[in-house]
Amino acid sequence: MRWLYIIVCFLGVKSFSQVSSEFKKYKEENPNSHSVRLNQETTVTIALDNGDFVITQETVEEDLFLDETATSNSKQSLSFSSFFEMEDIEASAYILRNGKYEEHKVQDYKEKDELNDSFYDDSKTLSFIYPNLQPGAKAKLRYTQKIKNPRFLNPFFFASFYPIINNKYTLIVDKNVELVFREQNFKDFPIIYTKSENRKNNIYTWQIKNIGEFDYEENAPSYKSVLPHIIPMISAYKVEGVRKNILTDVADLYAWYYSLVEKVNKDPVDKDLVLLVQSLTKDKANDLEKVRAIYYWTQENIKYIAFEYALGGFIPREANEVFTKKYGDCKDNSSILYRMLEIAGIQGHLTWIGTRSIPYSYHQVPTPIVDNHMILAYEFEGKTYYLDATGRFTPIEMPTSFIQGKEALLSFGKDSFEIRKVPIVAPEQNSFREQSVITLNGSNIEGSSSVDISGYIKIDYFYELEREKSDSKIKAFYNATFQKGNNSFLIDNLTETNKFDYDKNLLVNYDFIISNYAKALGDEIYVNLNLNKKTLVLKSKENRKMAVEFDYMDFYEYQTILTIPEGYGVDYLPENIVISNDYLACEIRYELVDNQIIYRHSITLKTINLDLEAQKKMNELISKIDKEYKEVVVLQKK
Amino acid sequence: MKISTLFLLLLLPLFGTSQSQPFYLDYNWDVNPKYAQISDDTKPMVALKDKYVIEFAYADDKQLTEYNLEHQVLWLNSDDKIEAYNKIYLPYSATSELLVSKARVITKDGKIIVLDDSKILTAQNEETGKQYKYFAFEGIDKGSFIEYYYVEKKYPGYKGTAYRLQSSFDKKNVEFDLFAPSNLIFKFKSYNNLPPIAQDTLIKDKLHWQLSLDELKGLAEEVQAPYQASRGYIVYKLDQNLILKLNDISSYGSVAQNIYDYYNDAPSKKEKGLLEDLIAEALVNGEKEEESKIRGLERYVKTNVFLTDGNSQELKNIEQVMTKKVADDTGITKLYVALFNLLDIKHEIVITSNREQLKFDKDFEANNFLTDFLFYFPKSKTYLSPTEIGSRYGFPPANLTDNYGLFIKEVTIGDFKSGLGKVKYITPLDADKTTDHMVIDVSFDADDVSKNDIRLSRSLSGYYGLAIHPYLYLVQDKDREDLLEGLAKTMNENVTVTQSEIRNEDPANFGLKPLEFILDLKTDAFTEKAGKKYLFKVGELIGRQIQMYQEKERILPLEDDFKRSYFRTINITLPKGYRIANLEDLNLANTYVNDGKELLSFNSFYELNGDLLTITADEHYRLNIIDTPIFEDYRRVINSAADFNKITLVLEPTN
Repeated sequence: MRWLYIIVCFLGVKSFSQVSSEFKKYKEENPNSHSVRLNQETTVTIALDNGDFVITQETVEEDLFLDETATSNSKQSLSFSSFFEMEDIEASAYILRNGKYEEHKVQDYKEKDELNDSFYDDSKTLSFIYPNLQPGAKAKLRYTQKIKNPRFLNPFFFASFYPIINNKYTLIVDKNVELVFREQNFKDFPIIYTKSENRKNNIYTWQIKNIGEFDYEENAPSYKSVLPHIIPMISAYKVEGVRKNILTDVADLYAWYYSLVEKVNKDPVDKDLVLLVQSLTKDKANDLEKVRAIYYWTQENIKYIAFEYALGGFIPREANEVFTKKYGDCKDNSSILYRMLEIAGIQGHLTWIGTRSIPYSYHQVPTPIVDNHMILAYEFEGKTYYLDATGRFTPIEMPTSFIQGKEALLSFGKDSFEIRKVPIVAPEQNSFREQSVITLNGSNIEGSSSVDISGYIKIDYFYELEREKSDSKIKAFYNATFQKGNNSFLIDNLTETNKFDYDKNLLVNYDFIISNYAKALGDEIYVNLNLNKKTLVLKSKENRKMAVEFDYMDFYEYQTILTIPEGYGVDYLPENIVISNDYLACEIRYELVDNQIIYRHSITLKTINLDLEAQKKMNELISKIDKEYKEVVVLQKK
Repeated sequence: MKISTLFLLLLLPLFGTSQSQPFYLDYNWDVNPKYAQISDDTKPMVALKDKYVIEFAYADDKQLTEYNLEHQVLWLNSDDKIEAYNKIYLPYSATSELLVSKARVITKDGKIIVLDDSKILTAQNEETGKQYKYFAFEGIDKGSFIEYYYVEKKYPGYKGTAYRLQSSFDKKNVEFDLFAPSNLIFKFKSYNNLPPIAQDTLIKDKLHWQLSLDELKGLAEEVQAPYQASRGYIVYKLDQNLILKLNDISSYGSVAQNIYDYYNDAPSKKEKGLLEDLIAEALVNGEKEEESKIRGLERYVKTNVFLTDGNSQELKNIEQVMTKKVADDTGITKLYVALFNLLDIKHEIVITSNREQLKFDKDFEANNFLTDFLFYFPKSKTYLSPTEIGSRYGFPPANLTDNYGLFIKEVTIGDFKSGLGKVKYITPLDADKTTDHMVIDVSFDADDVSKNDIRLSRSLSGYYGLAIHPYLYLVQDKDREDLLEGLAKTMNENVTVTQSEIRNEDPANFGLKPLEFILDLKTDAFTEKAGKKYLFKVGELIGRQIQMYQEKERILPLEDDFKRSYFRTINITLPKGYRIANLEDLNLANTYVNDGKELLSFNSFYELNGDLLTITADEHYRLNIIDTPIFEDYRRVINSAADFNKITLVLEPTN
């Protein structure tokens, strides 16, 4: 895109009159980037001081801005917390004047308690503004952080959403400290690894040069699944000749996790909590039903508020406290669930798990970055149930959608744990089935429908519906989500059954009218019975570069019965189509029974993850279905 | 932008007034609260108390001080509302202090859970200078009442404050009280059906005004209604100081003078040099006309100076602003004034409000209406927004127009220059200034009538161009492709772009020439086969149109951002051997005429010349604010575009 370069230069003749040769070079080499990172170096020093870890991480970043978006990068902020203390920071902008880069130091750094992530934690941001950023300017940043816990080494990323010219990661490690490294997404990236040593330390270095930018795409897997990065892990260290484990394997991670939870819930249990459990579980047929009652009560009554101050981010609070406050985060919910089960004489298992945004397995990465969530596992008749009470409306038979397919680390006491895989819920369990009976009235369609909604689709509906209390808003919600034919679709006489029920399917009945939909001309009436063209939203862009993630697999089925108007017969009925591949299955059928046309359309999404090859195959299938969507039924006067 | 109270400071001496205790010292909540459950279980929440007390009093250090109390009792009856209200944040700043804060939950069963002081947390933000006290209510279940009150002591703000008493939910026991020393007379005005405030004549040692309502119905939100501006609210301001014998204290006369003086600080020699350098850098094309100078300066400032908020003085200092290229709203406005003065560009500072939030009241002068700055250039009768990066000369933020504003004009009396204020109407731009113009040429594939070649030329001007024209040159390849494809796909998802071109892209063209996209498309998305005939969905060529529903009677007015026109011409070369069976369907017309002026209209018609069918579908909205009596007229016009969008032409073989 050479012309873009020309335009940019032309527009700001004056401000570009002072460009360095460096700017010209990178601008030519990266015509589609707003900036390049000239240099990114992180050096982590891991030392031992009398058997205590002293870990510092120094980061250097240097950016060169290539166009007028430069100014919008002026404000920057860095996060830190009690685990990652900010030691010192230095930032400067460099502006070209008379052929030389002139340094403009940032003087003001402002600290702020971050209130966005959780209600109460120790996360803070330090923000500052680079002066004078303009095309050709550079920004240099250097800061040092102290890493307070040897389990919390950060992964280092070799690529980003901008091009990086030089990217280097160095670890200087006391010889008494053992490290393990996990390479993630290294394939096809020329990352050079070297190891050297001096008297006291081992020095590990990874370096890559000239790596292009990655594009952000919607519904893509987390950047951790895509960008090359290295995960350093301190496995053990020697102090006075004795070897001590930190994180050699999952057992070490578990041992540390367990040490954080073992002291919880040792107080005598709150009498009211006992009474509550008794009333919830009395008359229940078996343990599963008891757990169900407790689980649903917790989802309903314990609201989500997170307190993550320092190690408190890893330690669940007392069940008694959660019970009186009626709020908590995932750990607190797990704690109260555990205790309530215990009161009912039932064993639950505290369980650590990473949501789908984390692509690591416990064995690959046995460190706290492998997970970010806690739930309670419960076993009944050989089946494991995963109880996550942070949300609402989740039936006991289903895990929450964002942990499907993930490894769960279940606690079975002090030295005993198990890793189990959370199942992915079958599409048929997340179903939307609608039956409609329609008649033609001029060019309008009038009809009535009954819908049956289950699984994650139902949960999504409940979350939306819970916000809309007034009748008109509820109607507007259904009007938008059930829309058929065209946007004149208007529903009426709405009834809902099993609304907000955890176990039963949501049933909705309604009448509707679609204006200006059918076309009557002379002796003929044309009507397209594909009122819902559901597969179109599944189509991926052809130039997409990353995989697509779906929240869950699902199944949609529409049955529409058209009563043929008096005096008319069928002139043309489209053909049936049944097609499928590994990712999608689809059917459209037409059947003439007496004076009715019975139309059936079903769509099954059979995966939650589509790589590029799969996207292509899915798109091919969708194009075929799309052709069928254009088929029109022709009715003719007898 | 807030006008700093610094230069509006009015010293209020203590002498002659008797000092009385601030009300809050005796204030407490009911120690044994008995709040009745609300019988209507379908309501997600109700306020049982909504009380505000503002007191102006002379503190021990003889300074006028303001005390603010807010006391709320809310019944929460849905999980959603519990989650929305279980966390409370109380802001205070460097110039304020939280004197009291108490919170408790009264459960459905009457259990009272008082929040311990130790559970009130603090957060700091050095950037804004603000601090927060915040807490989470403990023990809420459905049907619980949450109750809290707090008292904030702060630097007094008496030149105009609005309190929005009406919310989306029903309230009981709504109370507003204002106390003042006996020499300070306040004036009040109630808006949107709230009753007027009354003076309490029984009280002796101070002045007291109050409004007390047993009930205040919630105001439901409606599509495109200026909801915030429609809520019931009151405004108060200090009007007189009896001891100093000052009247009209909050009037705009002094505001105009102060603002003029503050922004027209004569630049130092150094500043002047920097201003000249900036002008030389910004105006490189030998701009001669006033308008081209303004455009050049604006473009330079908006792309080179980073605008931030903050509480630092250097962001307001034009020398610092020019050397560091970082400013806050005040600093950037001062910079523009200095630039205009140096270039002798006649301008007026205009201060107004966002009409969606608060309508500028031309009959009640109070500072709360003075929130947003504009420049007005009398020569071109045009506005510029100094602080909206996304706005350009001639196209100020639309919600600041169609509203009144305070215009501050420079007046010269001898050697002395000053600002003279006048409230005037900020005329919105006419519909012909903001247009979306489409020309669509359609032909059918000779071998397969279901396939079309389409050329779409679409030009955007005015506010439609504003969203993209000034920045398009910064949009790079993949994003650019996505943008063009997105534009094509407003017709239908299944179109393939074979060629594309953008005209007048240079951002300097914005406001002068429309931004034009020319897209060549191939598609089979618009044709369906029905036996021997083809159905051609001609209406879909103009893209999906909004269908407006209104089942209940409309309560609030509807407000559009800006007036606008759509022009659409569709040229269809009919396929050989086919004719159109239902041409008459193309004729649609709906208009709203007032005083002989066609204010709202949709009009579509056709012309057939041999095998060339030309369809025109034009739509005009020459009115922004649609009051409820004409709401249905508006809906009819909007929906006729949606009706056009559903027109299908039947192509039948000629033999």
